[in-house]
Order: sequence, then structure tokens, then C-alpha cells
Amino acid sequence: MKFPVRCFTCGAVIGKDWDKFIEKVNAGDDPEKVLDQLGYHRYCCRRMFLSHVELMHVIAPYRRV
Amino acid sequence: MKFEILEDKPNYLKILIKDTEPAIVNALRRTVLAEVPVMAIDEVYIYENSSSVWDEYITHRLAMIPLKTDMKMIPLPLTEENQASYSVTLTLDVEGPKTVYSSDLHSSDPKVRPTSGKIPIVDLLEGQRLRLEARAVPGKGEWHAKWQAGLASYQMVFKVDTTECEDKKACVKACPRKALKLDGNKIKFDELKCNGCGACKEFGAKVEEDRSKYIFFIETNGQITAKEALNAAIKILLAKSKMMESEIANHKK
Repeated sequence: MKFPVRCFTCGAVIGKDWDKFIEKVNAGDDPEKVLDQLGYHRYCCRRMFLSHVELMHVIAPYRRV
Repeated sequence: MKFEILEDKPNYLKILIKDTEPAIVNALRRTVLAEVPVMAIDEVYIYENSSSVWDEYITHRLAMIPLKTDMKMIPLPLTEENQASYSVTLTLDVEGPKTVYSSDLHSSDPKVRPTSGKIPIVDLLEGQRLRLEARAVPGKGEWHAKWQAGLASYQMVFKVDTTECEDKKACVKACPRKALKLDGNKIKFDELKCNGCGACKEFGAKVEEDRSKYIFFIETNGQITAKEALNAAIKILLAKSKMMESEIANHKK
């Protein structure tokens, strides 16, 4: 589904940087460097970005029961 | 107790607290985490939701969005009874195809607004619509994590005595955090860099905890600045101590 608003572990707001992150990574940048630029130094927040699979567009056409 | 500011950014504050003890620093930390009040969405009235996700999913995401908070407006001490005396209404009405962002929330009070307009909430396709009204109230981190002002933590400071070191060059080289520096025939020690790993012990240095100094940091989520959070925490601690004092004074046998 959509990228979480907050980091599961520390509660820092990470949702605001998802668009920037995925745009740069899709353009071929190294995720490690992009995360450093965005200022995420804790590994709890970094894994949120690295391990996320965006599935919102897959379920969007379906109705909830 | 003396404060020395090491780093000062709007949402981050790192200070060295001297002449103190762990109990006081920990009280400060716990107050920042659990007692400093901030605004968050608590009640949502959903009028129309034809998106693919549940009302609860959207509501939860809305609650996690940090809202800029005006500390002067919040009643202190904040309790579950007076919490609703200050509330702000936010409305949202978006029609697809579009991604709903936190910037689509329109607040009744311009001071209370999402700290960032770029937080995605939900994707809408052609013909889908989301229309809702949300009520934001102040609260404490103790009640729910959405009301937590930020992170706060502290770390120990160490004393390293290198007077009995024989091979001073090797001792300096052994330090992985570069806290030791050779200055002529003496070794200079930087207490802010040392984490007490003890690599210099092999060369005759003595490492000891300094129980009177602590490095303390606050990182807020943007609702209030780190300095405001620290000020509020100190005020809350003082108010609590005073309340206890008057309780004892008014106690009759």
C-alpha cells in the first residue's frame, strides 16, 4: 500500500520524503547516497525506504468489500 | 546544573549538561517523550470514501501527520477532561484521479497546519472521491504516539587518564573515534568524541565514567521546535514539583 507516514521504530516523519527518494532512485541514483542527502542517519528509518514495495496502484481499481 | 549547547537546529538540540545526576536527566527525557503536549487529529468524520482503502486506514494515516502547534493555546496541565477545550477542524475534499497529499487538508486555524504538505495519504482513480472533516486536539505522548513531540535521549561522558601511558603514540592510534590527540609530550582528550570503548586501556590508560556530565539531545517531529520542547518539559517538571510541595503543605493529620 502507500508508504508509511512515520518510521515504525522511532516515529520520525518519513512520508514527506518518499516522492523525492523514489524519483532519484528511479533515475539511477544510489539509494545509500540519496538517504544520506535526505538526512536519514538511523537505520530504522533507512530500512523503511529501502524495503518498501508500493502496491497502492495495484489495489486502487478494486472496491473494498 | 549548567547547560552547554553543542548543536542548535530548529528541530534538533544537543546539549552538554554538567553538575547533574542521571535521575534528573532521565526525568527530563521522560517528560519530553510522554508529557509535552502537541496537536494531532483525534476524530474524523468521513462523509464520502469511494477509494480502495478502508476509512480506518485513512484515519490512521491522518492521525500520524504532525501539525504545527502553538504552545500558548494549549491548556496546562493537560488532562483528558480539558483536552477538547481547544480544537481545530481540518477539512479535505479531493476528487480523483489524484494522489491526496497532506497539503489538501484545509485548517480552520492557519497556525495549526501540517508541518509538511508532501505526505501522501491515498491514491484516487477516476470517479473516486474522498471527503472528510477531522478534529485536531492537543494530547500527550503518554496517551498515544501521535501526540509525542519527538525523541529525547542522553549518553554518558567518560574520563580518560593517560598519564601512565608508556607508548603515547600507540595509545592515540588505538582510539577508533579519534578522541585522543598527541600534543607535544601530552595527550589531549576530547570527552565529546569518546564512547568509552576502552581500546586505550591496553596501553595503560584509565577509563572511568563521569557521572556528573551527560550529553542530552532532543529531536522533534516538527510540531514545535526542540527549544520549545525543552522549555515545556522544564515547566511541566517544575509545575509537578510545586503541586507535590503544596499537597504536602496542605496535608492534615
